[in-house]
Amino acid sequence: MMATYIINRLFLAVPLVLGITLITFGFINMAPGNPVLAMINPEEELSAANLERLKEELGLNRPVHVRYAIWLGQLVRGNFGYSYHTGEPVLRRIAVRLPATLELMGFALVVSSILGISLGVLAALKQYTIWDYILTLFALFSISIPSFFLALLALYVFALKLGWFPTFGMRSVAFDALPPLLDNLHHLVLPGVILSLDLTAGLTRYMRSGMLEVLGQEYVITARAKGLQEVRVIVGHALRNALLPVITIVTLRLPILFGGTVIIETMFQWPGMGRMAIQAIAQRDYPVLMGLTFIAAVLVLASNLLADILYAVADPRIRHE
Amino acid sequence: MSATVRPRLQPEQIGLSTNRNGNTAAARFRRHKVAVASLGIIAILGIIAIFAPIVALQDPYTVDLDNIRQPPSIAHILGTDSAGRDMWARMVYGARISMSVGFVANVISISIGVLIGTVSGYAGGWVDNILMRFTELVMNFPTFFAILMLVALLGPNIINVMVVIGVLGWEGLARLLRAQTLSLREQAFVEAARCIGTPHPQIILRHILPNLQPYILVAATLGVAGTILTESALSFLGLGVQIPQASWGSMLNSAQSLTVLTNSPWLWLPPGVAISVAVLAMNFVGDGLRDAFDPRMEV
Repeated sequence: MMATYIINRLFLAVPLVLGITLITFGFINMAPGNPVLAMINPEEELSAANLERLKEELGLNRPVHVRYAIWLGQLVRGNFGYSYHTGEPVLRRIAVRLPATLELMGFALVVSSILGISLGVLAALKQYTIWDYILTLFALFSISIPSFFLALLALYVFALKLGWFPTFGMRSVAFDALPPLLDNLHHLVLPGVILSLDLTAGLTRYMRSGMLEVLGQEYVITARAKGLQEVRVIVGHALRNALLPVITIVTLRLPILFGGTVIIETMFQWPGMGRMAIQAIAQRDYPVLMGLTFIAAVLVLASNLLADILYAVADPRIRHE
Repeated sequence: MSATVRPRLQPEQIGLSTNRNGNTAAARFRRHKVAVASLGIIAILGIIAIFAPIVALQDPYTVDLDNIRQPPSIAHILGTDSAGRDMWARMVYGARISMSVGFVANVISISIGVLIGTVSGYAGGWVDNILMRFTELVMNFPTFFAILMLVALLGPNIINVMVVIGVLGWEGLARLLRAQTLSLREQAFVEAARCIGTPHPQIILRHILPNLQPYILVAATLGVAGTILTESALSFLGLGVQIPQASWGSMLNSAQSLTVLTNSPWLWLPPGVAISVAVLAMNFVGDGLRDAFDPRMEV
């Protein structure tokens, strides 16, 4: 049953992946320079005649759908082209930057899940009290204040004036620095927390309404009626059910979180994919930019798939539909 | 000769006019004090933007290299920027650009969202299938990456920024309107219109769309908040409105240097506050509208 469901979902993802490649290829075709030409290793010495022959082989003079097929074929083999700027393979350059972005996003996800869920539950349990209003306001402020302005404020106050946190980078170069892991975490706090705010706000609002809805359900009333402790009613009966849709909310907002890394990484000089995208734009390094967008889209798609599967594991009703 | 029976929502419930019992959407909205105050703030910002040449007092483009990064004074109430231009004048003209980019971009996405949502929901079948798969595809794409890439390819200028933000921000509304249209389509008054041979486009325009008005209104208000934010982020990164023109976001661009950040707070605090206030006000109004129409509306 489960296996059929997973295979089904995977099958549905195929047209989406193809769509992503189509859009990416469309973008590439708008870019100056030739996308297929960018797939030739620049380190190979080429005579003019050889270049012509290679162009012919790569189908540069062929119609657009043939070029798409050739490009797709290269993509499947892991050839994302070569950077205009450094001549390195795009995939290798991205692979170097990926861990930093995943670390930042992972931290933000953990922070906002913990904060968002607990604050949302708090707001629901204290509905219409001052806590509820404060949390609602907090959520509205978090989605309204631009992350770069918050980052500037945080840098100004916590890094420059108070000196509690470093202003940039992933780790210190000084010899008297903290142990590597702590040092890394120290650098992670400001950008990670600011990146997490938007998702935290979304989750808080969502958990609040989710909890309020669940708390009115008959099974919660039954649990109370049979004399269960309030804590067990809330954690065991209400929270468990309100938590389920959180999986969906988190994954739906993943693309936004990804977009947020562009700004946060640029401002904190965090060596990840987002900052790389801005650098690639400045250097007009289109193959890198396309590669980044493609990888980002595939990562988002993959996590959506994972969410669907997790959801089916957690909620049997889904896979029996 | 079209049937105009609209069972569920009367025009006054949509908030366009009041009726006697005072429990219309408009009345409920008026009771939402913060939302009303926010509407006032937006109106003030709008007036400032429209009358920018009068409110600005000075020219926002005059470079004065003898007076760069001056702190606020009587001559320049908000100080001067890195080229000696008057910050207040740039803030005022920035309101014009930030708000009009936000507005136009939003009109574009609302139009696309309404078109795709209603057609998809009304037509059903393979049209619906194709349109929704396409919507899913756009939804899955990390929007900000796509916006960055398109703006970089087309060249960063105000028109491209408006169009790109608009073209990539309609998925949520389309899905919402599709779901609503699906249920409206089955209602008796739509069926009646079909029976007397009303053409499909006219049914969508005269019978479906009016019932979607609350959703569109709420989505549009919250949408402007979103587009203003996106524009400011692009301009902050240097990929939006270009010098000498100013938007609030591009004015913050200079604060990427730590010297400006530390020594000249007047260069980045006012535009940052302006964006936050404008977006917050839009979100409050959107929230107020939603509560007035139907608190459980999932916009």
